[in-house]
Amino acid sequence: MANLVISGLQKSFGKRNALSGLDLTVQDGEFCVVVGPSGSGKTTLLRAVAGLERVDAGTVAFDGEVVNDLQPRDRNVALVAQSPALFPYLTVFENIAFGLRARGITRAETIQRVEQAAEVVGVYDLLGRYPRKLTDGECQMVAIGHAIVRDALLFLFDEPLSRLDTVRREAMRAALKRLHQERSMTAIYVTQDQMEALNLADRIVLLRDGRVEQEGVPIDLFERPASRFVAGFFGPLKMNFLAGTVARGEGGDAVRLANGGMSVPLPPNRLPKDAADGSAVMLGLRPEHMMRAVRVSPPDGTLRYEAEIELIQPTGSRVRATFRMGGEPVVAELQAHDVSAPGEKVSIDINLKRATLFDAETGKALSPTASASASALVDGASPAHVEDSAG
Amino acid sequence: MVWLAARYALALAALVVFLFPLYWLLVTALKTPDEIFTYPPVWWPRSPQIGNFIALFGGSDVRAIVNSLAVALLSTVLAVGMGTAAAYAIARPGLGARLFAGWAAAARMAPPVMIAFPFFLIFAGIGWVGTMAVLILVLTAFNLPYVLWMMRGYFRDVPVALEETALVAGLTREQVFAKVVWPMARGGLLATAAFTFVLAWNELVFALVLTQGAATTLPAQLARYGEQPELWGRIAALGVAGALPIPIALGLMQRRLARSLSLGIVRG
Amino acid sequence: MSAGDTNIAVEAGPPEARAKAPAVTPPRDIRPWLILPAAAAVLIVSLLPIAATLFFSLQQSPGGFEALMADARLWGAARRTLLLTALALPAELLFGLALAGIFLGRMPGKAVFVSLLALPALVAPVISGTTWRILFDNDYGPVNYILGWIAGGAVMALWTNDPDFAFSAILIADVWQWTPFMFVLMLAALSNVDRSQLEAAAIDDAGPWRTLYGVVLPAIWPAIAIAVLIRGLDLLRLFDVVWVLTRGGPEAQTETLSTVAYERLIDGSETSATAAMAFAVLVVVSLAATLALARLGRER
Repeated sequence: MANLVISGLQKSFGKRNALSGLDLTVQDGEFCVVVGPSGSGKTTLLRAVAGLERVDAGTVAFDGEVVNDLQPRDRNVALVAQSPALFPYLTVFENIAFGLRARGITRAETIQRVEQAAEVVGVYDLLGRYPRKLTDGECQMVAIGHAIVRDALLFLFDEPLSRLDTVRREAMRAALKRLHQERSMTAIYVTQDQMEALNLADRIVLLRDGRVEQEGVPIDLFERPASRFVAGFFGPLKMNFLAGTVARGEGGDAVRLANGGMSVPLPPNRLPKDAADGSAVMLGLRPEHMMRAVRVSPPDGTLRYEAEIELIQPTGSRVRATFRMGGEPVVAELQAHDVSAPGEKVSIDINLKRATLFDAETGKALSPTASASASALVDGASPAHVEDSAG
Repeated sequence: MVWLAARYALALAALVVFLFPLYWLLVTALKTPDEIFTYPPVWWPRSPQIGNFIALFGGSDVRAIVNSLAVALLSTVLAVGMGTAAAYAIARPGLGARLFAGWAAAARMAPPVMIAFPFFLIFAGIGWVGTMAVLILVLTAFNLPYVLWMMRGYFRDVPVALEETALVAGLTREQVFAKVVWPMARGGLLATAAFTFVLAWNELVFALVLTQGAATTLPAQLARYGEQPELWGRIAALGVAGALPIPIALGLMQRRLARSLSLGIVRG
Repeated sequence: MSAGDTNIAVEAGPPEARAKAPAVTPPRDIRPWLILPAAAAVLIVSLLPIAATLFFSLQQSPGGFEALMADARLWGAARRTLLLTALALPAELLFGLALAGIFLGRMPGKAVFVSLLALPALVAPVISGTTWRILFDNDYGPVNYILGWIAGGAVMALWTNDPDFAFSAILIADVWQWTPFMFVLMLAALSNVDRSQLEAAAIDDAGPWRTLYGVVLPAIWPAIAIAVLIRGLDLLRLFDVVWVLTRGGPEAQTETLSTVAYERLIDGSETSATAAMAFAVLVVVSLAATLALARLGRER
């Protein structure tokens, strides 16, 4: 195993910049999941680390040693590409075993390793078959088997489970997680599936336009997104964004919503010191941080809002309820029994302590004034009632 | 069902039409001279004679056959060897490769006479005319573009992803060629070699212009017989000999026939 | 890569990466050695003749292109060659398509039929000419016999003596030999027409003509183009069959461009006019073929 340090990686294809100054460190034995929209450079990153692409600038280093000029075969990495590349004239067994002999593994050990790997990925019964007889999903499993059968320093996975059906997917996910626990693989794992990302990751990295937008443990990207992009990316339920301006007053800070001028009071010191009065911001509210009001008066740091539910989307034991705030649609995640039909009026407590503020121009998250982060949780801010100035 | 029967009937009719001349050639070679020169024509000889075929061995014909074999084999081996190497080098895009290959293929389209013309004059100047070596060189050069064009296509058909998988798995470039590219491209190589052999074997003009006498090939020998009806039996036998490699070549090309004929544009 | 790749291995990485794929090209240092012999051969074969014919055409006086203009025999041959091409090409294409139509769709044993039918296209044109010479013989050839059987009376077509008959003989021999060429190509192209497109057309209730025009024709257009290109150029340089069937006779009435060039080469006469013609033909053919191939063999 090795640790991987990527620094300032640049790569363009003609006019298109695939990587624009990417920095990433993966610790030894760390399972690092990379997510990002299409075209953000995920595949190019993997190929560059594997040695299949020459980079224009920047370095890739294994255990401190720069490997930019090393051929793929000398880098000792394992790569599972997006579309499974199996040799049509070799059996599944031979496909998985491919390359082992070139590295000097004995025949007996090859057989043992291949059978083991085949069992892990669930293709043991297919060992004698040829790829043209396999489904896409099975091909992908064979490709994964081919990767894990080696003692590679680094494992690179490019959306390896994308072609599997849901059931198989979850089984494979569990198998990979188990494998990682046993072997402690240093891995970079690219996926579009956020559930998968949260599931498997020791650390998550979000790419955007060839650069790292944010990285950290999964909960960090979820709870403390560094920018609007990150916030909008994660969560099966999208974060609600409301445009507004900063309104500082003696009674406390608030965000004046752009549409309708409703004032949303903020917990003390929620705004950074340098946020100017009147500057444009985006207020980010997660649907999970809203609940139907139960107590007589709303808890500290909560905004109680009388909402008229427009749309109800059931998701099992919960529902997604859409209502309007300042004229903009907002989605809250409520219990199924909280609301029965559209048109119903419900009191909703919105936890503003978990809300995120973003600079409307740069998209960057506005962090609270330092001393406030702790006090915000315990401060007994007076409950705030909302008067919708629009009516 | 009826339509299927009709199709078979039509297919058989087409077979008769298109194979009859070849049949006639074979039959003529097996006839005695009186059977050849009678009217109405004899459709099948009373007792087939192989005398004409034996007569081939007597004269200059057998030498022509052997020469053809040598010329075709050698020029094919050379053309396939050089052409395949170059094709692998320019297989992936870049280098204006496609334009180069296209120009190469076009060179093959020119009339052989027009090419033989200057070659003859040049070789005559050097005093090199009339040998098989010259013919082998010219045929190699003439057929090489075809090999280049076709093999480039076959190499390009090998998915890049497979080569990359092999590289990452730890194989050297040479091993990648041997274990990945070659297994997938060798069928195409066989078909290309077979077709190139046929091209060289059938070639007339260069042979007529550049060789005479002892060095001549089968097609040239056949053409030089000219109007000698009394020798038709033997001429037909020579013709049959010239047609013999064709079924073998067809067998080697198998399903790649359309691709070989159409310069790779039509995939069988 | 072909458009309809197998599901086994498609691309690795974004399309631009696939196109460059520097990892799999042979390394810089080996590459020139691989290319050199072939490049040398191609250069010699393509450039040398052009240079040489140009050189020779300017040799004597009257100079090549002037002499060319006055050369009746050459122009006669040119006219005849073009006529032959104009007649043979469509005939071969249509017959080839018709034959292909018979074999479209499931047909047990199809491969055997197709292989047998392909034989004439692979046999040497010289042999084809020889065969037809025997077949066309005025007195003993079966052609006259069969024609007589059809016509109901004895037919004595003077295939070898009459210029028009001789011309037809050449035409027939060529069509016989190369219709199978068209047949193989057309059959393959037609068999490759996208089934789902045909089904969509059927669902849309498009009539046979609409389907033909909208789905089939665009799909087989490259095949027709390359077939016409190859055969067209072959016909323009027709030699083997003519030489063996008629030697250009009777009385030089069935000469083609190549036979004239050949005879002059042997004689050593009129070199500059012939060279001028050769030069013109070479340049035109090379350019046309290069452009056509580059366009047809477009990278996928």
